[in-house]
Amino acid sequence: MDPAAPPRPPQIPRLPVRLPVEIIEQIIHYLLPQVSQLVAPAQACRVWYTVCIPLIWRRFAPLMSGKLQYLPPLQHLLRAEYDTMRNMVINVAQRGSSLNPILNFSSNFLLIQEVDLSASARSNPSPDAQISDNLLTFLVNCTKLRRLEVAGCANVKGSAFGLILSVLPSLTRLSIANCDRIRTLADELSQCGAPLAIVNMSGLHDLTDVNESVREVFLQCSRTLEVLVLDWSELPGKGEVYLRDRGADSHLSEDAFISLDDLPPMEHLRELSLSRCTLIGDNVLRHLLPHRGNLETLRLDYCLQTTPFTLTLFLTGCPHLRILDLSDTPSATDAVVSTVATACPHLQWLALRGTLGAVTDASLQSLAAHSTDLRALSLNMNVHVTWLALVHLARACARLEALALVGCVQMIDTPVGELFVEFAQGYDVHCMQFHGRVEIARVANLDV
Amino acid sequence: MFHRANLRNNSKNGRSQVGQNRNSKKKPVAKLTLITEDNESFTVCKKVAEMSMFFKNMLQDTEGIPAPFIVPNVSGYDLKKIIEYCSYHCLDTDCPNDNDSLRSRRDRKIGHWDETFVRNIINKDGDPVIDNLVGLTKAAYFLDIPGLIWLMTKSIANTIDPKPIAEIREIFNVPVPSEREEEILQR
Repeated sequence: MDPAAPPRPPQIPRLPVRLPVEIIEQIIHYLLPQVSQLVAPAQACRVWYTVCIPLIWRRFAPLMSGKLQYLPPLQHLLRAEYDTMRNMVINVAQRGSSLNPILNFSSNFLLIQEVDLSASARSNPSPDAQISDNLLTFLVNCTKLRRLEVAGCANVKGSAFGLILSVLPSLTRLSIANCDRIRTLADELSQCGAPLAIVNMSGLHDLTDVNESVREVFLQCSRTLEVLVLDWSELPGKGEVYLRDRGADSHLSEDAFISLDDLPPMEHLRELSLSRCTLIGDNVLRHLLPHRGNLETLRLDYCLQTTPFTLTLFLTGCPHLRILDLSDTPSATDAVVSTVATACPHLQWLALRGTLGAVTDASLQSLAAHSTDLRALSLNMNVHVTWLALVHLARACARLEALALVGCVQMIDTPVGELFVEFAQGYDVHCMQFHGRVEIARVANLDV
Repeated sequence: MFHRANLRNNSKNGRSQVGQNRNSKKKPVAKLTLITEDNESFTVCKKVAEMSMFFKNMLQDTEGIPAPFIVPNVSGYDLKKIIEYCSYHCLDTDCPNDNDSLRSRRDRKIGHWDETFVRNIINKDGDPVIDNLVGLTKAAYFLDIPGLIWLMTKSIANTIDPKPIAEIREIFNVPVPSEREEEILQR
């Protein structure tokens, strides 16, 4: 200190409060019954953090080491704490690169099985403070890691994934959706040694080698792949804009799927989501034909290049299909819907929005005849659908829970109200989305 | 001479060893003088002082020496509050002590007198709330008074319990760490 400094004025700036570690430990113990209470103090300052973290980890260690499955009664008890742990990871991550949040768990890397950093992006809009590739690189030490989600992290550029995917032996779930800064990914994915089962690559609008990347996913993980999500739907309308600006080369197209011809059938593939991939057409569906056998979920909305013939051919071989989205697809016609009704007996969720009049009462009749397991049906903007067929369908499908009928103009001047009341009592209709329809809204008020 | 008044009040209630020993007249009350770091002196009876493990050990080591004890690290205000607490609790048999399990300490409820005691500390004018609690906690920690440490830590825990990070930082006046600082530390 400067010896010549004048004596302190009475209003000295308040010093940080420092407590002995033993005292902090006692305070923490009084907060302990709910681990969630520790999350905020742990992040207040470094001393508190060092005291809190071992206590928190002691609670989670049995959970993270996978012993939970042998202790089913504990599962519900620990569920809340597990959520807390996730919040903990995420909240710490919000402090971003300045703290190296992942490093703080370095002593417990062997225990970590799931890392979800997607919420940090949502709650922390500043890109500088978000997770970067350097931080992700440290995850190579988490040899038990099974799930990695970095959806929406704007600072992730993809360079770390090469190392992560080649080193981690048990990584099965990977989500890199909406990581806007990823430019290339094919090289990283080509090194993949992890048995990826669930891959979410939707919304990678700036990816220049999207076709090569998807091809690598198929080549490296065809034996284990269960779910592949390639939606372009997170930013409505952006897909077309990008397509126009950057040419078709950088858009998901047939090139990505050519390699499927040489691969053995993907037996585990149960979900395929290709929403708003506007270049997906008949060729792609043909490449997928051998792999469709166990599909349970298929989303093809806004796939403009498909034709009814190929779609029919494709859907006849999907006996396990439960969820199908054919909205805004010009090829969704009555013939296709009746094929679906007969070929997919377990269909539970069907979206046929905006088919520009191609779907008529004939579709509903075939659904009523065969798809009695239907739970939800979306018929928005289908101008030819009438109430008579709808009531017929509702009577046939006893489990119908949700109906969307926005813009079905045929139903304006009909006594829909009384009919709906009738089958709402007789059948199990819980929730009906009647937006924008005065007549039906009045019915919805009658405790439907 | 506020401390004397304080002790006298306690003796009227019959709670203090001082009063009992005065009435018995068999044995002179062992007293001892404490001088704080800001040169305030207090006279307390031995029983009250022995609530503190620090004094208890010191009295065992220096038996028979009537010299005043100099108490470093403790201010006059804190020592006054400590004596107030010890005078009230010196005859209690169920004070929290180091042998209690964490669970029993955690589940123990703060008594009525203790609550008033803490409220008086918090309502002291001038300083931020936590500074008074923390000053007393540190003094209690230094003098090793398990009951008072329990009361203070419990009160601090109650203060910060439902609060978000920013407020906890404000309470403890922790600066938000700058990135450069963290980088240097990491290196």
